[in-house]
Amino acid sequence: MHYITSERIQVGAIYGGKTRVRPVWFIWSGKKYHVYKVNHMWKEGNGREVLVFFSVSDQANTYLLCYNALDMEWTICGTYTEG
Amino acid sequence: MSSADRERVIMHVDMDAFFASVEQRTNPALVGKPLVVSGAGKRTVVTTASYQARSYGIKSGMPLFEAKRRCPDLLCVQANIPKYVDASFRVLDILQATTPDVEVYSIDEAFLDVTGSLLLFKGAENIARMIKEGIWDDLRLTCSIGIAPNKLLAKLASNLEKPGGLRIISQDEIPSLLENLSVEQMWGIGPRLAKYLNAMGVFSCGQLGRVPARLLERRFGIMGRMLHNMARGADDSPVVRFGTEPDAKSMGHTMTVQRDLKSRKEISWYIFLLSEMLGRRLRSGGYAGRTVALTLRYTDFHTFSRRMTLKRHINTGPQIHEAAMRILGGIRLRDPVRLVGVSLANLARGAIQIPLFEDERRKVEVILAMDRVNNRYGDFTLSWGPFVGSQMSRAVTPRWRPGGVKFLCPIL
Repeated sequence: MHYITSERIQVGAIYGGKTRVRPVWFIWSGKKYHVYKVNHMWKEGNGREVLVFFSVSDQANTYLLCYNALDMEWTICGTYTEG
Repeated sequence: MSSADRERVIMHVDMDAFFASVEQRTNPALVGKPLVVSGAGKRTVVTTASYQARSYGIKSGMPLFEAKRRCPDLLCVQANIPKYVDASFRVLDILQATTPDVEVYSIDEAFLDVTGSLLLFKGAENIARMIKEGIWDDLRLTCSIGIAPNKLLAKLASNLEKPGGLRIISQDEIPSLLENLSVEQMWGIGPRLAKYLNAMGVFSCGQLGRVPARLLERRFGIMGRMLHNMARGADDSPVVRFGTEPDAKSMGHTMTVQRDLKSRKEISWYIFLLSEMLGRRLRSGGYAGRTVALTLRYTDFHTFSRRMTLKRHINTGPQIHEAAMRILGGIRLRDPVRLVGVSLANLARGAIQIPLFEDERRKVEVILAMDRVNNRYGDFTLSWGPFVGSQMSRAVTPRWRPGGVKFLCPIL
């Protein structure tokens, strides 16, 4: 995992359905990435803050996105590498 | 065999290489590769190994350097406990859809009493397949399932067919299965006990079952009767429904430090940290305790505990720290310390009395105010001076259960 300082990003997401929220694209550093697959999602709570993490892949790479349910804000936390 | 065993259908669900599988799911680049999940720091041990890593002889509890020696291409991922806790709760939801009688044994294991669900779901095997499909659909994870008349045999059954297996032990099969089963394979018989039994000429469960119970009791005390029953596949223990578990008898935390502690001042810092984590956990469950225990491990791995019973119940970090420091004061340290543990036993709920004196009352009010802030903004948002500047990360013990351990500890 290559962590980066959380950067705010723009995200297009579908709300509802089985997973409640699912990112379908995101814009990071001016480039638009289409989410090909949501690999895994999980929630973390600390105090009243609830963060929902999404491991998502486009056709080439895997990224870790985070949705802060309290602030309704999306950030990118890192890109996945081997180990 | 008890009559209760004849009527029950018990299922043991064991997630396959749970932490490693969740990591492989999160990062597809890890799929099919030798991978271990471990703690932070250089002196950490393997928490879970993927099946690819296990083929190199790597197993849980092995020091990471040893694992890397066995497999130079080994990939290591630092444990992310909230991720596994979330997955564990999702598995629990799937299990509870088949029966309310689900006992969460650990973060990746559960027992189910499906006796009452057999008609509804057309048999135990069908329930097991539904569970496997449900977990695969939701999480893309696999599990091994054992079905038997009791918990002991259900656990054995799931272990016999790993990974991804489904094994049923029927009532009729029990004597023949146990006859040649080595005693180490039975749940509850560890390597040390097995060695004792082997020294008595007992290698299989069949042989163990033929040893008179009285002889085993003389040799092993209460455990002797249990061994006698285990060898015959008998187990009356109930499936304890999630949320109805009995109150905790003790709570504690241990921590392996990144560099050996040579001074009492350094040890004191860790004792304070562990006491604070423990105090917060005790208060969140409404517990207080009277017996404080301090555990230390020297660099040569010699581990020992000393305890002290107080006159009144306590549940705050500073109180636990003070008692543990009194214990430390009575220990002559012969070597540097690599592990520190603090625990509290003799637990009771609602045992804290409102202090009589103003000073004491104000101390309690400060602690409660800190709890309110930390409940809202997260653990260690407001804490004691010595912890300022420490980077916090979540940690968990392998024996974690939902609703059990959840705390932050510093990365050092």
